[in-house]
Order: sequence, then C-alpha cells, then structure tokens
Amino acid sequence: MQTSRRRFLSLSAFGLVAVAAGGIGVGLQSTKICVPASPLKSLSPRGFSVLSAVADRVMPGGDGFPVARDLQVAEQIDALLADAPAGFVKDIERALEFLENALVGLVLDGRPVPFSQADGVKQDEILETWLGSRITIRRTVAKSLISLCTATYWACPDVWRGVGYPGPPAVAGEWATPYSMAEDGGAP
Amino acid sequence: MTSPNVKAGKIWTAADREDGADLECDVCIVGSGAGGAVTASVLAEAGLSVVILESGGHYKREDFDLDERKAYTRLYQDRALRTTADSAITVLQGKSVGGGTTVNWTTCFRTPGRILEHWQQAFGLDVLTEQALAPHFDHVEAQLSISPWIEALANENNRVIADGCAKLGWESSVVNRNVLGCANSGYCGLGCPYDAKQGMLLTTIPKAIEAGAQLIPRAQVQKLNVAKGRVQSVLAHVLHDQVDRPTGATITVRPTVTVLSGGALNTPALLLRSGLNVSGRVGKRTFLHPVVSMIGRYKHRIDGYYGAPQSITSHEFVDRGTDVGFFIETAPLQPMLAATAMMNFGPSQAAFMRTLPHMSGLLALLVDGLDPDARGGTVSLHADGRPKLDYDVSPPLIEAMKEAHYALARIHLAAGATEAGTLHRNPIFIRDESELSRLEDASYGPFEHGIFSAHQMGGCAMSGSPDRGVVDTEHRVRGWDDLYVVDGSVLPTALGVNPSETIYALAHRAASRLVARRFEGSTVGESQE
Repeated sequence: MQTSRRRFLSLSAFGLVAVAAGGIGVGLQSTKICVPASPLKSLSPRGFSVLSAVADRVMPGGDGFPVARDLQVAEQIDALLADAPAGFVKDIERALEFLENALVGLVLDGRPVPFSQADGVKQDEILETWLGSRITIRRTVAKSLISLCTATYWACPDVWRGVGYPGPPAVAGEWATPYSMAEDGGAP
Repeated sequence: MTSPNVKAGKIWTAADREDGADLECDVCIVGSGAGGAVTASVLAEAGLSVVILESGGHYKREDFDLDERKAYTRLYQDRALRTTADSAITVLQGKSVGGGTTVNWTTCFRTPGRILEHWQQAFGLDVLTEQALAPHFDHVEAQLSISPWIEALANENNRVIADGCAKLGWESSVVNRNVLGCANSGYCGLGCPYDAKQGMLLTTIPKAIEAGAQLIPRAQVQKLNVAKGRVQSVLAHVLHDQVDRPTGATITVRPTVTVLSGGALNTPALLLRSGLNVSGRVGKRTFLHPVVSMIGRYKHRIDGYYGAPQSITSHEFVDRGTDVGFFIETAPLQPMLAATAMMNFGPSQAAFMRTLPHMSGLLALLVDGLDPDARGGTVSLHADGRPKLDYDVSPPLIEAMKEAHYALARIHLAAGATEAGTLHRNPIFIRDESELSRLEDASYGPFEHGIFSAHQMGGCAMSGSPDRGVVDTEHRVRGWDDLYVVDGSVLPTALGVNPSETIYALAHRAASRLVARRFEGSTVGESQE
C-alpha cells in the first residue's frame, strides 16, 4: 500500500476523519504530559510528551546505558527541529499526533488508549507492529520517530563509555575531546 | 545594492548578506559542491564574473569539531533528516560551502567504461567516451590530489574486505582518495579538521574566489524568474546563520547564464519550483545507490570509527548481467551513524551498540538504473517547496538486496567474524557458512532492514536525443540557451562507483566548453548546436 505520509495525513478523507475523531478520543483520554527540562522551542507540549515516550522505548536504559529521558533526548530533538525548515516540525507533529491518536489505535490495533498512556511493554508492541505494518504511513511514522530518537541518543557522549567508543581522536586546538587511542588499547 | 560585474572575489559574511543584494554577473551558479565549484573556478579563471549562491554555511577546519551532533545538523541537507518520502531510505547529502565534497569519504573513481558504453547505447551520449573524458579526469585528479590510498594504512574495518575477498577468491582493490597529508582519523564525514581533504573548500573554491568570484553562503535559491525565453533573474532567500529559516532579506542575481549545481534532488526541485518542466522529465529517473549493510563481530578490536572510512573495495558483483549489480565498501562506525543504520530499537539495539568496538560494517551499494525498466525515484515538491523523493524499490532491487546479504555475510565469515548480523528489525545472525540458508527465508526491501544512501544521481538526465532526458550534451536544459545543469542530476543512471569524481570531470568538461564557445566569439548563453 503505497501512500505518502503527507498525502495520507493532509489530504485523505480517512486522515482527516482520523485526526478529527482522534481529537474527540484524546478529549476523553488525554495525553500523558511529560514536562520538558527546558522550555520547548518547536514542539507542542502534547507532541513533546509523545516524543518523550517514544524516546524512552527506543532506549529504556539498563545494562549500563541511561534512559533516553536522562539525556533529554526529546528536548534535543525539539531544539533540532526549531532550527530546521518549518515543514519538518509540522511533519513530526503530524506523525506524533497520528501515533498518539486513540481512535487510530482502536481501529487499527484494538488499542483504545493514547500511545503515551500505554505501559512500556504495550508501547514496544505498538512500535514493533507499526514498523512491520502493511500500511505504509504507519511504517513511515514509526521509522521516522525511532530514527530521530536513535540518532539523538547515540550521538550523546554520555553513552560512549557503555558502547566502548573512546571518542574522537585528539586534534590540535581545544575543540576536540583529547583522547589517546593507545591507552584504550584501540587502534595504534 | 546593484553591483554590475563585481570583480573583487570573496566569500560573503553574514554582515555582507544581511540587507540582501541585487547583483549582475556573467554567470550565476546555484550550489558550491562538486559541480558548481569546479565550474566556478574554470569560468572565473577565464575572466567571467561569477556569483555562487550556496544554501549551506561556510565552515572551516576550526569548525569541524568531530561532534556528530553538530556535524550532521550543520553539514547535511535538512539537518540530516532527509529521507525518501516514505522514510524507508535515509538520504545523506551534504550541505555547506563545498557541498558534498566537504563531508564525503574521499573515495574517487573514474566513470567505469561499461557505464559510459551503456550511456552511449541507451542515451545517445556518444561524446562521453573514456578517451574524450580522459583529459578532464587527468585535470581534476591532479587538482584534487586524487591518488591510490596506502594499503598498509587500511583500518581493520577495511581489512575485512581485503581478507575476506582474498579467502573467497573474490576481487578487491585499494581505492583512490582526494587527500593530502591525511591523518587517517576516520572522521571525513564530519568535515576534515586537518585540512587534508582536497574537496572544493580547499581547491576550486579558493581558485574561483582568487579569480573574482562572489560566493554567498546561506542563500537559498527559491526560483528562477523566466521571461522571453531567458532566465531573467535568480531569487534567493537569505537564511539565518545557524537556522534553516529565512531572515526576510533576499538576493537577486541577474546573470547572462545560469548554472544549476545544487545536486540531484535539489536541482530538479528548483526547476519544478520555477515551472521549468517543459519535457515532463524533470525529477524522473532519480537514482540512488541504495545501500544494505551487514555487521560482523570479531574477537579482536575493529575500532571502525578510526582510520580512513574507505580504503578497500570489491567490485566482484558490480556486473551481474541482467540482474542488478552491487559493489562493496565500508562505512565509518561512529556511534550515531552506526546506530541509525539499524531498524531495531530498545535492548536489541543496545546489544548491537555494546559490541561496536569489535564490529565491522560492510556496505553493498546497489547499481540502479541500468535495467531498461528501472524507474528509480521521482522528485516532486512538498507543499513548502522542499524536494520530495518517492523511490521505487523494484523487485530486481530486492533480489539484489538478498544476494548482497549473502555476499556480505560470506566476506565477514571468511575474514574471521564470530558472527555476521543483518540489520533487519529482528536481526539474523550467521555463525558459519552452513547457516547462510537462514538468509533465504528472510524478507528484503523497505522497512524490512536498514536502507540508506549517500549517492544521489539523475533527475535531469543528459541525453543525446531531444526526446529523452532534460539536458543536452553541453549540459544545457533543452529549450533554454542560457540555463545549464552541472551536477550529479545529469547522470542518466547510477554509476556503480562513488560519483564525486565523475561529477568533477563532467563539470570541468562542461565549463571548459562553455569558455571555449565564449572565446570563439559568441556570448556565453548563445546556442551552439
């Protein structure tokens, strides 16, 4: 089923109905709000909360890795989007709204609660289901959001120790992280 | 400000562009990457007044701090958020002064002879022979210090290709790179802090500036204003220094000739925004080298984040007859880049990342566009004018993805990997050749596993025939004597090699011929056919 995300979300009758009806659904079961660590620059409080929930499933922490929330992954993405072309913010907000939408969840997954209100196990199941869905828009939404969170999380120096990545090699000047590869037993 | 035929060359600062500008010149070039910068240097050195409009910022060695967070958002299109319309394929494309050449991995190849022969037969490009292009390749290879890399300096990640292929009896070879005094750090994709990469930033752009060219960073071209059969002006919005949004200032350039060098995706999009799709072929036949990858885990450290990203390649499978071919290279494994290649998340993703120092990442780059039925991608426009790429991952491509997985797994195992792993949502691990059959039942294609690409080609294809393609063999947009396309979008198919050197050489050819025609007595915009 080859349906582009913008066409689906912006133009199709189903998209319009879903979003409108979703508004009603969310009125009944609202988003679990996550308070950002810093003032939001681009996303709505609701969009941020859903993104934060996704980020925490992308990296729930443990085994030496911090949970995404501790690295303020969603806040970093909010800041990134504030500097990106305005169209990206709209795209991401639409994607978050679609994922969160309780009516969409009910119709497509039998899930009558917003994504942010589901528990972690259920959220994992939802993301897995969407990634493997036969409906392109759901795959697109899941892949986009997971990729954003993945990139932001693993770019944080705080996770390097857990990875075993020593960091960039030292270069002249003060802008690089000094590092001796030989000390870590890495490349000579 | 009106500055007819400005002569004192410089790269404009934020203060220079703050109030906008209205400029006249011989040639306006949109984009400062492989096509635009080579063209600019040739034309400026020939005495033409040149204005280059570049949507990216101007960054120098002191700005390249090897921080993935900053580099990808500053130096890549759409802050590294560019993907195909369905998000199935991540599209990495450079955006700064120097374009993709500021962040590419420096791997250089001449256009393969078999590709040129295909173009001659299928697209009537009889003028693009190995012999005819040789002087242009010679020139750019000298100018950009393109030469074979030192095999002994290949990192462990690249040694996997050499060792694995040797044991399998498969071909592999050392790549050429455009570097001078390379520190072998491995961070080419984040900008070179050593000024070793001989990209446009250090080679052709300084030459163009010295010869009088004006380069205006953070000037995003919105459209070409056309009337009376000519491009009357080029309109650009000035962007904020670090934010991809317009300041409200505009730059208008009134050139005799306009050269579009924004790269595949951006150049077709600009033509579409300008209403210049007379042929109906603009944006069609856009080809990537769609990339699939497999990791290998090794007992010894690989440290794939260090060392030249690409030094060994295998073209064992690049020509598979009527099937889609692929060639094999490696990727630098800095954490962010490595993680975003995966399709899994949560503990499964963390388990991958925990072994990063002992992980090798091999790439198979699929050569799309040679099959007569291949459609590739189509560039259209988002509502806000950004390029939108819909890509047809056809059954022949999916077959090649499957075969590529077999090849990559076999190389890893032959090179001594304890296991080879796919990047499927639920990764498949192969521990010896007897387990290769597990790849047979897996699904391949969009969303099944990671797919990405850093090579964009086509969308304004060159053709010797008016009824095919968008530009003629002089790079002129058909129907417009004063409008040229000189970038990767003119390539009629994917190349089967990294595309930068082909674009350098074609740009040198196009610009040299433009100059020759000028000094034969005609104006630079006058038709010669």
